[in-house]
Amino acid sequence: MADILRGLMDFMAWPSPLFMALGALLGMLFGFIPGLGGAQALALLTPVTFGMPPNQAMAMMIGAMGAVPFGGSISAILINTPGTPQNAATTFDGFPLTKQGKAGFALGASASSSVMGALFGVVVLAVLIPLGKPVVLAFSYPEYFMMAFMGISVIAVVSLGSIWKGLAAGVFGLLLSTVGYDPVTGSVRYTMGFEYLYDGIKIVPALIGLFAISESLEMMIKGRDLDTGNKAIGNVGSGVWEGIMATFKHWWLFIRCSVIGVIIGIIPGVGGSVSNFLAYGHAVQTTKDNPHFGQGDVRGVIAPQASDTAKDGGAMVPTILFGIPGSVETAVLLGALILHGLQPGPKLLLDNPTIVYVMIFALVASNVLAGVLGILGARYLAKLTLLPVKLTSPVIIALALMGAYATNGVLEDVILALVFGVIGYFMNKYGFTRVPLVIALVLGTMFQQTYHQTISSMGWQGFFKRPISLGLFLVTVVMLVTPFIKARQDRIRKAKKEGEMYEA
Amino acid sequence: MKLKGNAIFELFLIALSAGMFIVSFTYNPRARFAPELLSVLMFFLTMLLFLGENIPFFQKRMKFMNQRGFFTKTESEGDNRARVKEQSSSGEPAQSEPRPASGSGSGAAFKENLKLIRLLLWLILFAVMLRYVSYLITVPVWLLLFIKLESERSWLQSGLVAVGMGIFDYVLFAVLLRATF
Repeated sequence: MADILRGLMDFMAWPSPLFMALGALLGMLFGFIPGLGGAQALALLTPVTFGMPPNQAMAMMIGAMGAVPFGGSISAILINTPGTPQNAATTFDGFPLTKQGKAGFALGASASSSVMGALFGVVVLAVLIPLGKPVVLAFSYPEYFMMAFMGISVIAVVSLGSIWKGLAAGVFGLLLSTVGYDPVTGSVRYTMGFEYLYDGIKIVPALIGLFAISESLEMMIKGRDLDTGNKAIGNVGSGVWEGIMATFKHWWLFIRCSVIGVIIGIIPGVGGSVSNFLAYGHAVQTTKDNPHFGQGDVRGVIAPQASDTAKDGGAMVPTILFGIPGSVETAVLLGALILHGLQPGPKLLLDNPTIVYVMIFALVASNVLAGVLGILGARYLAKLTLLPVKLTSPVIIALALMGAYATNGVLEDVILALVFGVIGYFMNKYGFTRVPLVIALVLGTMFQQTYHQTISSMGWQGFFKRPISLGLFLVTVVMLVTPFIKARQDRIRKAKKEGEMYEA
Repeated sequence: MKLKGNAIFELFLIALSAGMFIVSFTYNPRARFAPELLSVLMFFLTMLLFLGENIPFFQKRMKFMNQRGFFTKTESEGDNRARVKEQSSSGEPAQSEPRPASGSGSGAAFKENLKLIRLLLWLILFAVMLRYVSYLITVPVWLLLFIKLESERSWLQSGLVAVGMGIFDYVLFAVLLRATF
């Protein structure tokens, strides 16, 4: 309780609320503008927060992270273009409501379900943190090794697209994390004589490259403009209150979809684009009177938005308890914590519990702020989508490169961001998901350290003698094998069905 | 056999992992354990991908290479509207979602590559300028030139964006963050 109060005091101490509000504004903007998202906003903010005390820096970054889902829903509702992939399902009923002149109603429902969803996720997080402490204390080197191993494997398996490409991206990230000093022997590896690489690949410029630069390159090359040409915005101001109350009216649907969001958030690397569709699908399947879905049913806005924001609280659970990022945004957040001298994972929970609660309060406050500002400024924000990509992309590139440069004031950071920008562009183009790479890059050092520590202190049997470690290993094996077994069963079932049809 | 873009990228990853494997032998046994293991793993994974995606003989025999992620079905087959909306949106489909390799003909691919090279040259110019002049000059001058020459907007628009960003950078880095670089 004392930690919670101290966290609240730290969060309320000026200028933390100001930085949270600035972060929320940026997050809302990045969420609103299609093509940008939470990862880009956080990657750009990380160097900006470098000189700040950790509590202010975290308030700003979590502020940005929390505001993205609602920002993205505004463009989904008003102009039929999801601001981020996690808002795609919001367009199905959000935009039809706008066409009916009920934009305010849809925005109100989106705002209240987003805020309440975030609250739901945060409550789950706050409940799990004290419960997680004994679990964390039972962990030693082998368990941390197995957690990292499981995290990377699971991300590859649950990511969208090819499992093999996901695995290759994860191994690529681990391989890149071996650049620089070996954490155990101190030998220097793969530096090619560059002193800059002695400390390994710097996470902030790498993230800026992988997300902000590669995204801008993609936008410039495809030449896509943001506006879809549909401007049937109507009266944004009316019906907001009814929309807000709609979430309370459909409270049971809201809770179910929030639970979906939290569970998806806890699974590392899955992210909002999955929870969004699962929640929408769940709403359609479990609602008896569903002929209006797709034509402007407010439940089609509440379900995906609640799961989107609840997911953020869920994603913080593995991030805070084990230092295993639950999403891309939390992976960037881990990088920022390291930059501020805080070791993510159990040590953070045991040594700096206050900062954890600052993050929780910032997540709630940013969602509330985004909801209010979004409703008030939706009409004006909609005009931003008219900006051509040929103007916005160079500005984002300049900001990203300056962000990389600002981290340490060395040109090598800019070059590293450029290299990772190109890698990210090609990975994206050829279907290699970037999430396992980022998470493996963040976890790489822990992976190596805990491996050597286990071998030195317990021998290789250490991985399998301890029950938690063995359990984690078995879970990983099951998770890696399950998709292949499932695919085989599907094939057999399909062949059987075809055989029966042929006989008939 | 004509190599597609994804095949070239996979060959690059194969060469990179092979190179890292060979170089790892110059380190002491404890320090080279992780790079050795990971580079071998990476080599085999990317080799499997290369063969399974690009060589018809292996394509037929390595069906397991088509295995998709656990949640891929949910999004790609769950609702056609989802696909339409996501593809029509200018946003990235998902951070965790791979974009399929574009196969819009060699002419379009050539144009895309040419544009990428041009953009990379612009980015290198930014880095070179940053090396020799202050960021307070680099950002507005680079933006002015880029927006005018690459984005083909008017001098007025280019100038306004350049000056605006120059002021923003000055306020953020020089005034608020007191950056000394």
